Amino acid sequence: MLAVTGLVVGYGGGPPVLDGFDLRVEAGEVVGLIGPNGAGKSTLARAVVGLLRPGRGQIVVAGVDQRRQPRAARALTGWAPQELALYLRATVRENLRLFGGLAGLGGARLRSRLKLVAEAVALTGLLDTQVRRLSGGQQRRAQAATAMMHEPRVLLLDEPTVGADPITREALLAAVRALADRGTAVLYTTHYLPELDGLDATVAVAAAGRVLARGTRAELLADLDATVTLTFHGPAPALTGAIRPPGRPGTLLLRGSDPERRLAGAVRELGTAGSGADLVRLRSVAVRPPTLDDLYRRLGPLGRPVAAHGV
Amino acid sequence: MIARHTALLVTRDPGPMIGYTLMPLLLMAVLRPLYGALYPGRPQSALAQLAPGLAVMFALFALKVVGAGLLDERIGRTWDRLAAGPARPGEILVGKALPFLGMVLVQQAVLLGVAWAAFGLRPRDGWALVAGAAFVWSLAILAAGTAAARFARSPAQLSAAGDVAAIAVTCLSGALVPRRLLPGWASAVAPYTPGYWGLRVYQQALRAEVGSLLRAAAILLAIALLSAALAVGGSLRGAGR
Repeated sequence: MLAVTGLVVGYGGGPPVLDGFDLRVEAGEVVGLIGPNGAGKSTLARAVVGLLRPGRGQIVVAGVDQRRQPRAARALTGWAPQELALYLRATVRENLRLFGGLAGLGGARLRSRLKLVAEAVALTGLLDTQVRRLSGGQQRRAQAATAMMHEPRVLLLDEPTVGADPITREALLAAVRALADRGTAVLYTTHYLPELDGLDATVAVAAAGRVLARGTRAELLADLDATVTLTFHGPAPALTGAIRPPGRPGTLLLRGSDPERRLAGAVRELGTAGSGADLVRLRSVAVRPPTLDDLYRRLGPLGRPVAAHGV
Repeated sequence: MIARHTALLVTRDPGPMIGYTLMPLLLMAVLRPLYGALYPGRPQSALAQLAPGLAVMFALFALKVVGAGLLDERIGRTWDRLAAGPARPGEILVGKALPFLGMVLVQQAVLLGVAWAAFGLRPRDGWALVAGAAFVWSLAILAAGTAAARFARSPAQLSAAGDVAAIAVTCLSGALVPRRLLPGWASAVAPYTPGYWGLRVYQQALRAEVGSLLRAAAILLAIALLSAALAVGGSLRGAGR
């Protein structure tokens, strides 16, 4: 498992990017790390793999203290950074061989893992293609595959599905889930919340260098408002509790934690007022459940803890 | 593992290095009569200026290839991937550097080999000292290329700076125009350029003057160490977030 405690990391004497970061990922658990740009998500990964030296705090990888035994900790970790970091003129197979070999694999074990990982991320047919000739999504999968080669005890994936189509995204998520099922602790950074459902992941929300909330997606979004959008032919009528968005005279917004009930009430009110004429002018209804954006807005610029079951 | 992978990458893009190996051969062929006129009745002296001079000049151009290979690692963030694994920094550096050292050595060997086979260059005391000189000079080039990769911000910047540096050092070191024919100010500057000591180490090896050879080799090794220290300082820095 991965245990990060009170981590403080900064760049070149500037204000800390991580400022008391606490996070624990158990063996076999997938934690989706989400948060606005600059929250410190990538910085955390760079600190875990030893590319950044923390000012304070502790990182423990599968029982190994990262500061005391950095090589041992790195050997237990797989990392696919946010930016593409592969040898573009080398083939997928050559990249996998290199990173697998550096992690200590060799001979039959290396060949077997290479075959398995390539299959898992749907790259078998592209093994002998140079990385520069792959699409963006294929490159991201190849990068994730290099991090998974040695079945690390801790896997750090930083937005691995950017540019991936739905089918290949599913393949990658399945590969990550399978690795977790064999005991790997996975820290999965993303801005795309729905894919965390596919990973059966819990969520950690980071902002301003700290973890502000921790729980399942449902728990974290439970008390956030959904939005019902009512669009009318002609100007929108008066409606109790509705918001009129500026510049959209034919639209009303209803916000609340129970959108179906709010919608039913609105329909009742429209049907009774003005002999139902306003209801006849109703053109469309859209219900949008709460999203990650809503959570960010609620947390505010510096964040306000909304821990569902603590950090 | 890293060295084998790097060697593979070097062979995937051989164009620049082939160019920097073939061009000096052409130059050697066309400049030979000119150097013969500069050293009348002394063909070995003419060749001892021409062949090492071109070896020095085009090793300086090859420095760009070394630098570009390592700059790619930095810009492409693959260096970070290597550093995030269990390999020690020293293992990574050696693994990355060895294939480039081999590449420069091959270039120097081809150049001196052609000078021997086609133009009759003959070291006074066999090739062992010349091989040692080539090794030390290539080591200095490798280290300087590594340091260049640490300071360059882009391949274009590295290429432009590399061209300027290669021409300037070649001209000022006496590698192209013998030092005795350089203008006074340039002749005075020559010993402060690495190219001068590259030329010296080759010429002393060809003449089998071991004392002078060792002195030149020591200065080149000092340049290599200084460059390597700068390069290592850069490679151990954390990159952006």
